[in-house]
Amino acid sequence: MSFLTFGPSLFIQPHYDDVPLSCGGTLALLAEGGYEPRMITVFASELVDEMVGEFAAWKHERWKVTDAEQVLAVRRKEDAEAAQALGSSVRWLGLPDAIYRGERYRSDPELFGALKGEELELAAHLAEELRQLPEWRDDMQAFVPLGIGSHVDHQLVFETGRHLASAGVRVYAYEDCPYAIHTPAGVQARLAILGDATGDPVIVPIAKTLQKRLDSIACYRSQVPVIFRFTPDFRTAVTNFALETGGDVGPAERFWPVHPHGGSR
Amino acid sequence: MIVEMKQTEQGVALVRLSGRLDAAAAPQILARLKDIVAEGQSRLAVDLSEVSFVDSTGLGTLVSGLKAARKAEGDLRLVAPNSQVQRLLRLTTLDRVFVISDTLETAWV
Repeated sequence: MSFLTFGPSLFIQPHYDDVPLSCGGTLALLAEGGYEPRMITVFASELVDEMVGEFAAWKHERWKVTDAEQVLAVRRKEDAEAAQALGSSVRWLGLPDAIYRGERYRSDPELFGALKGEELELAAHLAEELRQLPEWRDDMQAFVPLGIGSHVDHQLVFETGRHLASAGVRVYAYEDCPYAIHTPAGVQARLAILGDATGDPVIVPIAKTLQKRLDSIACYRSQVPVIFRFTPDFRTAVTNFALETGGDVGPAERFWPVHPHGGSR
Repeated sequence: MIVEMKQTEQGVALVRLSGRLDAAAAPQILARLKDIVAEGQSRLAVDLSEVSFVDSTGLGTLVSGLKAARKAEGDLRLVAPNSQVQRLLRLTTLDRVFVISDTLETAWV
């Protein structure tokens, strides 16, 4: 069994809540170890009218969004509180969510389908941008979503991880929750698509920080009832998933080393 | 990042930026743009000809400035972005949001 190397770390989440939901226990362990891990929320831009096309407007209606500015303020407040609960802080980047990137994704099947070609270029840009952030260190390791569930924003950040790996950065992919919790076959399905893009998994026991992960998830008050609408108690669902992941080592989180483009290392 | 501002006879605030508009510089630029709007100037032309690099946080700053200008019934327009900035605007589809011109003279024609 492999274990994670502890050191300066950047936890990159496509949307508010992905890191606390998926790997908050590991982030908290690094924070307790004095490594000052940082969370980065990538798709956190403000909205102007032209960005809300037909599909985005339909989504807003479903989500009962009437005041996008108010929603943004709430989501950022929750994100900051969650990061703090894990002993960290968060930086919000200015990229727009997939549904606000013009007409690239016009339906849910497209939103959970294949990445459009120009999005791969955006992933390359994002990798370059991350390496120029004020908090970037030469020995930084990065955590990106594996892309379980196939949301295009998660796929894009995974591709960003591949670019970082190509630049010599140690990159791990975390298992996207709640997708991984709700769809047990999702991990294998995603790994089958990725082929040799990832290596053998690394297990991080999180018994010491599981409670912090649960507390940080609870900070997303506007999201928990939606995300866990199929489960009566999110704490039990997350805990059980961590126990299944860890097996004999107790509650754990699992990561997949990300290989650079053009081969494994 | 250096910021210079002057006002045209037509009441347009010409904001000239130079250097990098990135996560480190963005808070200062955003504060300046908001100050300009708060001072009553809602028509802004941001000259990017001397800006070497913009990241998504920098882009977000321009979007925030645009929102502030529109709230004051004005607009924020971009002038002479280099190829890197044009590429980022295209990749994010924000090229559909901003009015972009090649010269300051044509920004508010």
